[in-house]
Amino acid sequence: MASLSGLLDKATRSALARKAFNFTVLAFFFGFVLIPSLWVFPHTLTRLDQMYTQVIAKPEVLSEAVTSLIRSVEIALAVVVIDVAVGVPVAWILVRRKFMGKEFLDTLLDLPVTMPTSALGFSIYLFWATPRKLSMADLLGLKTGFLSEGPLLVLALHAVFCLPYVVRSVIGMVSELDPTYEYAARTLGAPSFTTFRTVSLPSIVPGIVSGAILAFTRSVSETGATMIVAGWYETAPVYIKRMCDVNPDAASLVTISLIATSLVLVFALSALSAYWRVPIVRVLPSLERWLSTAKASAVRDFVILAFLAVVVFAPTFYIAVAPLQAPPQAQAQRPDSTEFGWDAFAETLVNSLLIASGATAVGLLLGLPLAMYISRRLSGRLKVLLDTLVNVSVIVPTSALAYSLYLFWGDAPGGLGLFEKGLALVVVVHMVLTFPYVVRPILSALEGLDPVYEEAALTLGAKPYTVFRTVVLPLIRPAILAGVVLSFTRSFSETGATVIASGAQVRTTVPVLIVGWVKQAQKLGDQVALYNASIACALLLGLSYAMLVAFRLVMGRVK
Amino acid sequence: MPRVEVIGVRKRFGDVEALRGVDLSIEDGEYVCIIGPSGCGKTTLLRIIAGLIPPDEGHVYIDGKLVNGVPPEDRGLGFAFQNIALFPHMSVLDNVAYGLRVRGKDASFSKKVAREMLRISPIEISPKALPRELSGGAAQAVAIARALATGAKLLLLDEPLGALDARVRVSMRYELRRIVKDLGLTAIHVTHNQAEAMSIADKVVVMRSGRVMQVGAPRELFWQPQNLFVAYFVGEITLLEGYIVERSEDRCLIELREGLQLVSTCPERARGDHVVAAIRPERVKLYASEVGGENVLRGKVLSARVLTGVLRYEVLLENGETLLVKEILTHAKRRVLPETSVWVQIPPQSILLFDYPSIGLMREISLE
Repeated sequence: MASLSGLLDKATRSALARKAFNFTVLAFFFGFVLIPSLWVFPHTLTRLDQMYTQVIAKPEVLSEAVTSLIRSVEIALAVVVIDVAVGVPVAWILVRRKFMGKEFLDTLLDLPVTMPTSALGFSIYLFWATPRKLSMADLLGLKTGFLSEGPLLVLALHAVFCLPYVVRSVIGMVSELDPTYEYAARTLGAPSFTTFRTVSLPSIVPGIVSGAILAFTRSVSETGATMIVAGWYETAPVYIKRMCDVNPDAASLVTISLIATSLVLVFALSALSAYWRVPIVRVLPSLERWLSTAKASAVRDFVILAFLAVVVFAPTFYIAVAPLQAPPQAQAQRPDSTEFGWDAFAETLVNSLLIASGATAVGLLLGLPLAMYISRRLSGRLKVLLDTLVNVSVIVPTSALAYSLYLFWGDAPGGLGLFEKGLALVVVVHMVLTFPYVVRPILSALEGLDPVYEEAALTLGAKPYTVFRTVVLPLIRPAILAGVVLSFTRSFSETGATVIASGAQVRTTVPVLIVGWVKQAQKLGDQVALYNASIACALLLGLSYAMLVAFRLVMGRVK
Repeated sequence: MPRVEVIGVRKRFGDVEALRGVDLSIEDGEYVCIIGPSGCGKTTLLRIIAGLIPPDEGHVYIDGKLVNGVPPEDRGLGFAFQNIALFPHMSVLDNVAYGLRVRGKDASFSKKVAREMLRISPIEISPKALPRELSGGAAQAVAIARALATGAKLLLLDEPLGALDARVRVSMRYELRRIVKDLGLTAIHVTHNQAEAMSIADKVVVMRSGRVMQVGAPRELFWQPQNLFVAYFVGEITLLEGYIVERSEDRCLIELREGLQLVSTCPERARGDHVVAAIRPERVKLYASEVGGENVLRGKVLSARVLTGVLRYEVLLENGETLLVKEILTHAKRRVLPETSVWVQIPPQSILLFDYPSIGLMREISLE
């Protein structure tokens, strides 16, 4: 180890070695992550005439594409409104209130983003949808379900898996609020509700905005689970998935529009939140005093927590209850038994875990130096630019990203032709989509770390690599771990991009297999497959929860 | 009229006992400063008076009314914070008008009052400015205008000048007192800066480890400290350990280390008492040549420093202990150089005698 450190020390002092290393890292970011993610843009530019003849000139194709796009944006906007309305009070309760089981609730909140989206989608489908075997309605002996397949069910699903993004982002802001501002407002005569509305809320707007952006891009890109619950209601990513073989130009158009919509929204929102000041609307003292009473705030907390319980947790955990019902009689005709067996489940689960670990490892290996490079070597506009580009790769909807990567690496015209749709492409997609999740927290930690410690170590005679290893690394350890957890869970739960990258294959990762099982069972009315899918999803729920608890334990120890 | 009465207040934060039974009575129109080392509980006491945190035990009365359980917004007081806490998303005028707006007053009335209130500031401040555009002094002036705009007659100040530059801090403290006296307010001002407290307070409260050590006018604390901690904490002082070896009528002879002797006035002491003699450096006279009289000791100058308005000497006595001496700095006066032999005279009536503390001198005066 000592000799390796010595070697690295020498290397970091050599300008040439450092340049070569920085070049590799930047080449990976631009050549492997960023450009392929956005490849759909140059790809389309070379095929404008086909785009015209195949899509624009065909009113029925165009209208179908536009409809899917409008649906996705509508759903995503509705999700943002619901999740901000629920997420802000939930974050406030989690930071400010003291109650039994708060830690537990805090852990549970991450479950919808940790478990594979398709497992979550299946659970929500069974909880709300039309009565069929295993469903909640069937269990209660109802003739009709609560929500039939379609937009409302899509909304019920998306609101659940996007909520944690808003909550986490707002929690970050709320826990860093300086209580003095609230004290000032209180001593000036503002009751607690007025204080929240006029002083605290304006300060947490940036957190709400970044949470809303994440929720929007996640909703707009989800494919797999949406396929389970959507029925006739085809959203943009589902449309891309269906069209990428049938009419690739239509898929490209929708992909481009998805990315553009997200980018425009993000920059508009960030600009708005920087310049917009929340106005003090006229205060209604008696009403606001009443709203500030302990009773009113208890009622509010109760309503919010009840909403969480009924709309988020009950549908998420329903899958643990569903398989407890009596298994159905085995059916004779099974289409392709190898894809429906438990060995396929085991294989894809191993794939999922391996891909998540591998993608995270690569992300860490190259993301850490990239973050160091951006934070410590760059300054001024170049730094802002690279920082923005890292954010862009978070914002690109993952299903659009997967399609872009397919165009770049795959056998589409103008592509490199290296990978077919399938496991290899899935691995590439996961490496790309998890990368910014590793870089982002590390970069923030480095920006928050005073360089004075590094300067102190340098003046004490440590060489650059030793400074990094002995000073920087220990100080940013929590951020590294946060990046690893985010990247791993993101990869493990990702369904949308994987479904698109898998093509017709089902035995890639476990979320894709679940989609395959459920879709097949829905089509054929195969009760056994449905029952097996519910067992598989229940197992994934348990596994995700165990992972969350383990991550929390490790994080707690590191902090 | 705001009188503030605090009776038997206790507060714990986890394992830390922040306040261990505080009684305090503040009269209408008084400017009271609370001083004490960090962690002595002074800010906690202020926050309990404001209602920002509830006491575990004890009662707080404002204007003779028990306010336990009354939320801060209903106590009718103004509060100024060390970090100033002007709302960053509002202009100066909106900040000052805030208290009226949240009471439901309409915007134009609130802004009119706010404009009036801004006149108390000694510095001209643009009402449209944002807090981040203000200097520290101006920002605190706005914060105080904001705290008073609702007509509060009780002003609580938590290290209000702590974040300001040294020069501004000094001029602002006199401005603070002027505002409080002009408007007929009662003020409770927490600070760790004793010079600040001594120069503007009518009454100073010295706290330590959650207890009140002494309450009194600044000169009382300085010349008649009731305990060793206050003697040591307020101003500078020399503490010399000794035993009373002889006693007659109202005088006694104290033997210090190495047999050095001092005569002191000493009521209520007996022969054999173990004592600490506390000597204010302002009372000691320094001579370049030998003089006659009581308590003249030989010594050698260790250091001679010119401070603002004062010459400060450390004099090594023959028993190896160090005595502080302060002389008024005048134009004609020459500094006595270090290493010079000198004679010091300590007037017997200026020596303050305290029982030698059972926990040891260092622990008794420790700031922890």
